[in-house]
Amino acid sequence: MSSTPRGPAAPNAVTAAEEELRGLRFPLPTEPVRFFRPESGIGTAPFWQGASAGELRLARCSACGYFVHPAGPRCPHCGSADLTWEPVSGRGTLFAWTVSLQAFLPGLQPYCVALVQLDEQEDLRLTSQLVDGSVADLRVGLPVEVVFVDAADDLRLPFFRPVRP
Amino acid sequence: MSGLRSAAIRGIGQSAVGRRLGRSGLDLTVEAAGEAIADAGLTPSDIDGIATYPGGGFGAQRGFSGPGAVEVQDAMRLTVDWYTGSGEGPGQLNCLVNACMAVVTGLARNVLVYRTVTEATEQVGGRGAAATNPVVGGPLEWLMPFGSISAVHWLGVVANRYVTQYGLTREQLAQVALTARRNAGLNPKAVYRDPLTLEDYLAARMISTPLCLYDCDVPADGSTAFVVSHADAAADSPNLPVRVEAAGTALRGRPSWDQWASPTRTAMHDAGASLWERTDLTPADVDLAQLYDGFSILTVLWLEAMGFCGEGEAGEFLAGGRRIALDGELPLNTAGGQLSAGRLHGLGLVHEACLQLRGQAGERQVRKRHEVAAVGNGGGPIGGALLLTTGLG
Repeated sequence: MSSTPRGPAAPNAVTAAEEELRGLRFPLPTEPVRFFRPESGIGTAPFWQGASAGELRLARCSACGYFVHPAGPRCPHCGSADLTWEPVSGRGTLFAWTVSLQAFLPGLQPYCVALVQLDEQEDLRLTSQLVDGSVADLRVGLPVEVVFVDAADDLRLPFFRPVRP
Repeated sequence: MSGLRSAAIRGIGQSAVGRRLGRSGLDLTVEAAGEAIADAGLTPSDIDGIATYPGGGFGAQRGFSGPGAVEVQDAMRLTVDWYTGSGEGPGQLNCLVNACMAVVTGLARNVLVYRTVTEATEQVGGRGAAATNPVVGGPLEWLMPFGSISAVHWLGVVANRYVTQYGLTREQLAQVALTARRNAGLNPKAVYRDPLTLEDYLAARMISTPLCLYDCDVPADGSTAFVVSHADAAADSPNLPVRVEAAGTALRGRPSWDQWASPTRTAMHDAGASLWERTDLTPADVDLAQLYDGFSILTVLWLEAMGFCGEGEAGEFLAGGRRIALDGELPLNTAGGQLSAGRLHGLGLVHEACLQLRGQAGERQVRKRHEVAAVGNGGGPIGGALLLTTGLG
C-alpha cells in the first residue's frame, strides 16, 4: 500500500486501513435489516413509500428540475413550492464509505456505510449501504445501482450494490 | 473587529474527571462552578448570569446534556439577571460566546458557564437505544435507518473521503492520538495515561474504517466551568484574565453529516474563516492549539479549518508529530485531548487553553511563548472557534 503523503490514492487501491479486510464481503441481507426506524412523516413518507414499492423516489422541483435531498418545503434553487416526488434511475457512483466492524447491536456483522453520488445531479448524494460486494470493490467512483432490501416493520431500504458488467 | 474583545474568562474550574464516577451531573457541576467562582476571586452572590451547552429543556439527554441552567440556579441558590441553556450555535462554544455577549451588552456582569457530562456513568449511545428500534426523524432519518448509527460512521465516511482525496496515512493520523497520550501522561486527571506507541496504534482493532479504537475519544464524567466577566471588571481578579480576542461562529454551507459540498470542508471551516475575519491576528500568531478530537480525523480537519496548514496538507503537518509536540511550533491538545483525557465535550479544551495561557499547566506547561491560544470545537454540522489571549491587550 502506498504511503504517499499527498495526492489521491491509487485507483482501485483499498485504503491502508482496509488492506487487511480485502476479502471481507458484504452479502445481500437475507434477514430483515433492523437499525432505527424512519419517522416517515410529513415531508418524508413518499421516500419510504417509494422504497417499499421498489422505487427510489426523490423530491424534485417542477419549476427548475432540481432534485432536493433531503426533501424540503421549497426548492432551494428557485424558491418554488411546487415539489413532486419522482423516481430516479437508482444508478450512481460510490463517493465515500466506511466499513463498520464494531458490533453496535448484538450479532451485527461488518457492513459498509456508503455515501452514494446519484447520476441525476452533481450534488445529489444519499447515505446508504453497499451490499453484494466486498472491501476489494471499494473505490471512489465505483458504479453502483440500487437494490431494495427488506427491513423490519414492513419497510424496505434502498441499498446499493456494485454494477456488474 | 470583534466586540467580544471586552469579555474575559476570569475564573476556571473543573470537577473530578473519570470513567464511572457514579456522581450526579449536578454534583459535578456544583463542584466545578465553586472552583471557577473561587478562582475568579468571587463568591456565588457575585454571579448574575448562567450559560450552558446544550442545557436542559425539551431535548435533554441524560448523561449528555448535563443539568439545565435552572437546576444549577436552584442548587446554588443563585440570583441571576440572565441565563441560557442552548444546544444550537457555534458548537459547544455556544455557551461561552453567549456569556461573552451577555457581559458585553450588560445583561450580566459575571456569568457562570459550564458543560457537564456523565456519559461514562450513563453509557448513553446507540447500543442500547437501537435494540429497541426507536423511530428517528429530522436529519437522522437519512442516516440511522441505513445503519449509519454512530458518530464513528458519520466521521468514518468523512475520514475515508479525506484519505482517498489527500492520501492521509495511518501513521500521520496516529500522531493525533499519540501526541494526546503523551500529553495525558503529564495530566494527573487524564483518563488514559499509560504510554501508547505507534505499534499499539497500528495493531488496535478497527471500529469503522479508517478509525481504530485510538481514533475515538473516551466517554467520561466531569464538569468544566468558567466565570466570564467584562474585561474592565476582571482587572482585579486574582488570576490572569484570559481575553476573548475573537469567536468563529459562522455557518455557510449545508449543515449535516453527509450533504456538505465537500465532506472534508464543513462547519468548522466556516467557524475558522469567520474567526480570522474578526481579528488582526493570524494563524502565525497562535502559540498553542486545542482542537476538538472527539475523533482524530476532526483534529486533522481543524488544523486546516483554522488555517494552520492548507487543505490536504494536515497529514504532512502531523507527520512525525514534531510540530504538534509540547515543544513544537504548535503544541496541540496539551492536556491529552478527549482521546486520552476524556470527553468533556469541548469545554475541557478551553479549560486547558486557559491554564496554558495563565502559565499554570504544571508539568505540561508550554515553555515557549504562551500568549495566544486557538480553540476549535465540534465537527460535521456544528463548529465554533475561539481565539484567546493574554498579554496582547
